[in-house]
Amino acid sequence: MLREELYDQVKKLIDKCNRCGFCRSVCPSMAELGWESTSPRGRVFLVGEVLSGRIPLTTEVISRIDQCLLCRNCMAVCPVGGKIDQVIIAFRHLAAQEKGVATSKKLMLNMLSNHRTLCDVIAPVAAVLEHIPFKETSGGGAVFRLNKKMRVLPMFGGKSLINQVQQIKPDKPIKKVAFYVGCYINYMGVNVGRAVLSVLARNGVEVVIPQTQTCCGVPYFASGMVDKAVTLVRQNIDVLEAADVDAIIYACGSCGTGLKEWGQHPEIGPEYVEKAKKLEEKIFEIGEFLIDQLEISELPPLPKPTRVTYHDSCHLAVGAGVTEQPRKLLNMMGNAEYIEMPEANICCGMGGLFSVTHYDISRKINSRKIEKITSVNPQVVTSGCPGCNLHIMDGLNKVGSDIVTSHYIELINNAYDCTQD
Amino acid sequence: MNWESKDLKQELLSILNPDQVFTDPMELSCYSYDTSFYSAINPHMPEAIVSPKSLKDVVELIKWAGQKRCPIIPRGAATGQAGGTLAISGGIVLDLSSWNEIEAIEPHNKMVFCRPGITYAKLNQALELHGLYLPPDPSSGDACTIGGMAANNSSGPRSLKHGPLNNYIMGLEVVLGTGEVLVTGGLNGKVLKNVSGINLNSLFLGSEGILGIITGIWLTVARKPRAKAAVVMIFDTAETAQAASQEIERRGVVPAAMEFVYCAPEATRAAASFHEDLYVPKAEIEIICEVDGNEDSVAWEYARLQEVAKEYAQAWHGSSESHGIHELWEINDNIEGFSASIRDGAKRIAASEDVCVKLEKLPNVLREIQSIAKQNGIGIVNFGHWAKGHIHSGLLVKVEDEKEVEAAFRTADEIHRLVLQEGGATTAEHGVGFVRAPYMLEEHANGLGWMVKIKEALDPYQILNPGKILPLETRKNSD
Ligand SMILES: Cc1cc2nc3c(=O)[nH]c(=O)nc-3n(C[C@H](O)[C@H](O)[C@H](O)COP(=O)(O)OP(=O)(O)OC[C@H]3O[C@@H](n4cnc5c(N)ncnc54)[C@H](O)[C@@H]3O)c2cc1C
Ligand code: SF4
Ligand code: SF4
Repeated sequence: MLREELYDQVKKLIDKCNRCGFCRSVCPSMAELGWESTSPRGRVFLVGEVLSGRIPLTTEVISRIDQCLLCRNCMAVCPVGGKIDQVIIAFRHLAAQEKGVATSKKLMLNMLSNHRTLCDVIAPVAAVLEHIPFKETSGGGAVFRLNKKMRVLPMFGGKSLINQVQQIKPDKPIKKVAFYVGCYINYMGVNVGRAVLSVLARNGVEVVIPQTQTCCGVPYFASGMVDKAVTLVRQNIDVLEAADVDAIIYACGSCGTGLKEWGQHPEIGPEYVEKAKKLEEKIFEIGEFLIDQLEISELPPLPKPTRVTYHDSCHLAVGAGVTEQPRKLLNMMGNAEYIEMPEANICCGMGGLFSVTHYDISRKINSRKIEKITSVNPQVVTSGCPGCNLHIMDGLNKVGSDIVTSHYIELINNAYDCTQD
Repeated sequence: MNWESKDLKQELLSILNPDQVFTDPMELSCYSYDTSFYSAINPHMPEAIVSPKSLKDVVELIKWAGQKRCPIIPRGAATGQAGGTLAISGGIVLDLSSWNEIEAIEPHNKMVFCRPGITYAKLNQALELHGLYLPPDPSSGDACTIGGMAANNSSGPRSLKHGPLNNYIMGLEVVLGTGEVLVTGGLNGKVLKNVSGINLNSLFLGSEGILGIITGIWLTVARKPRAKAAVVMIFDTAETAQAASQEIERRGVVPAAMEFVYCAPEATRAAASFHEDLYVPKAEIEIICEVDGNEDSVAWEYARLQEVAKEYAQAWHGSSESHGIHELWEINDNIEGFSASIRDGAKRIAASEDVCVKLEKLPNVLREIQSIAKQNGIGIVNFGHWAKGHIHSGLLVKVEDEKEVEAAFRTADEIHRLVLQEGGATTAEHGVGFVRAPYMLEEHANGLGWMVKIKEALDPYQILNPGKILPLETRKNSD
């Protein structure tokens, strides 16, 4: 039953593919795994075969589709505008229903939705205890003290950002915005969140943090847990709509794409699709907002000359189309010596939970990125996604590099801080 | 072809590592297609897929296949549109796309040695660091492999001035159907000029995997041109367009590219968002002409292009800076896109996409092709390489409708037959593959017999890509 429904939903998208193969060249998972079944074209084909019943839903097929990071690089080059992400999500929906979602994945995801209050309690405690086995790195990661080559984990940021701040109001605000925080910034990347708030306030913007906002739903869609995703998306839409602000700001590439595309999920129902589309016009990534909406043209200088480069988060670049604005901002700061790395837009291998379930592949994808970063020898590598940053930090740690990783907004905030001093 | 293996996977594992072999139907199904419409309707499953990573892998596999009489189908990125990578008689697909190292770049010698799986785009990325590039630029260049390009002797828009891939091949490493390794272009003598011996390079260029597996490619590459300029021109009739293109050459311009679109009614609307005056409601042909070279030569050629455009075109626009040139190519693509979108619910398919006719016949043949599609009740978009008389036809078909599918195949057949009647070629760059093999006898007569003899000499067990170029019935030991 579900199978037919899903096939109905995506058959047109699948049939649109003309098998030109252009997507093969940009797929990070194909670059590592090499077989046609791991290419976007192969995946679109396989989903069609399974949904139409020509191929059984085996663990092997599930594994091939699971090896997709949902990075969307394929969609950026597809000449027929193939919505490959929707095809993959439909398949995972079916797989989740018929074969279930791995318990470990479910546990992690349930924490972010059903047990948010528990997360709020755990985060500050973990932030203290984490310092015993782990050492904090300059970019906010946690390195295991006894084995420094082990995966760099996120460092909890203490009390969650949403619990810390409700509103920031400068004198005579020029605009009022809501900050959509996202799970990572809320619990781990609290400093990124603080930087967003402070840069906005310094530019005369009033910021509210709607308190009942929740996970954006992206990891649930990606895992095929569509029903749960729908609940979360609806809750967010209601909350953000009620905030009644000029704009909604985000600072995490993946959440942002999720937010901007809520309206493309018919599962949330026509009424919410309508609302989501209205909200969409107001949603901006922080850099996008600073450049395109506030039209800022000046930033304070960094305290000392610093070689900086920028990594394009796939979701931010391909999903939200934000590429120029962060670069413009970085170039605006005196003392920032901006160097473009080659292939700045290749995937870092993070892919959210992908890097947990497929750490080996994700590490291999990441090593290509690390090569590109180190080739221009920066002191700081920035991006607009805390998830990418964590994974890049892990990769740099693995090769013993002392390049610092930072969200670009933190660097900008740092420039403001130092100028004030 | 009859061949048998009691335990194919096991046999292959005695040659290759476990991570190089698949026999699982799910994996195989992903090798049942290429870009051809034929394969979308008639998928062909291979019996195994393997991913060789060394010369030894290929040699041992071919020797084994020879003993078994097992078909071997080499495959790059399967961007081919002619069914060239389909396992039409079963057998094993060799996925060469992961064997993709660039083993040497010698900038001073303008020479590269690479393995077959490297894509055109990745090779150029590496060359760019040295100010070099490989000029033949297939539109599928981001995805297609150098091995596939060599096997198809590919070319691209700028091959008008810079030639197809065979102009850049210094030598090939090829594994023949016996497992013997042949190095063409002289064993050690890879130099920029070489007429020593019969040119075996050309034998394998365009041989589509039926004579040998290309495992290594020595290429000569070129310096990137310092400057470019381009004009887009809109013409009321194909005849005016042709007069203009001849005049461009008569005035001394050597165009790098001259591409066209046969415009659907109103198609130049798609250009109006860039430059309103490019909208010419009843235009028949749009042409983009690009010149390249140094700043002075380009300035001179650009001036001539503008003169001709003013004199002949209904509307035109030009640019000599990179953003503007990029925009002109976008205009060309958009007019093509518009012309391809005129039939609601139809999908653009590759079935008859690569014919070439004498320049003097181009206008009429184009109109006849348009009317063949019309008579068969389907849509069509024609575009391609104007100054070569090379036409790509995208058929616009409602693929869920069986009748339309039949009409599409009929249209393709009629186009090929028309072109043969007019003394043209059924394919000018995409290759014969499986889908155009039925026309080979008519196109080559006893030439086909000689092709069969060459094939028999190099592939005595008839294992290499059977049924491609040479129709299956021409096989000596057909069984
Ligand atoms: C949208 C689109 C645009 C295109 N534009 C152009 C164009 O502008 N110009 C052009 O020339 N072509 C074009 N093509 C056709 C095709 O992309 C090219 O011919 C390309 O070079 C094929 O490369 P591939 O790696 O995909 O080869 P494949 O499709 O994998 O193989 C092509 C043929 O070569 C054989 N083969 C592949 N690798 C080897 C090897 N190592 N040794 C021996 N045989 C081998 C295969 O058996 C097959 O017969 C286009 C295709 C598409 C889909
Ligand atoms: S979304 Fe990314 S990983 Fe998934 S198929 Fe597309 S390019 Fe590959
Ligand atoms: S780029 Fe798009 S149309 Fe081409 S094979 Fe990939 S999904 Fe299909």
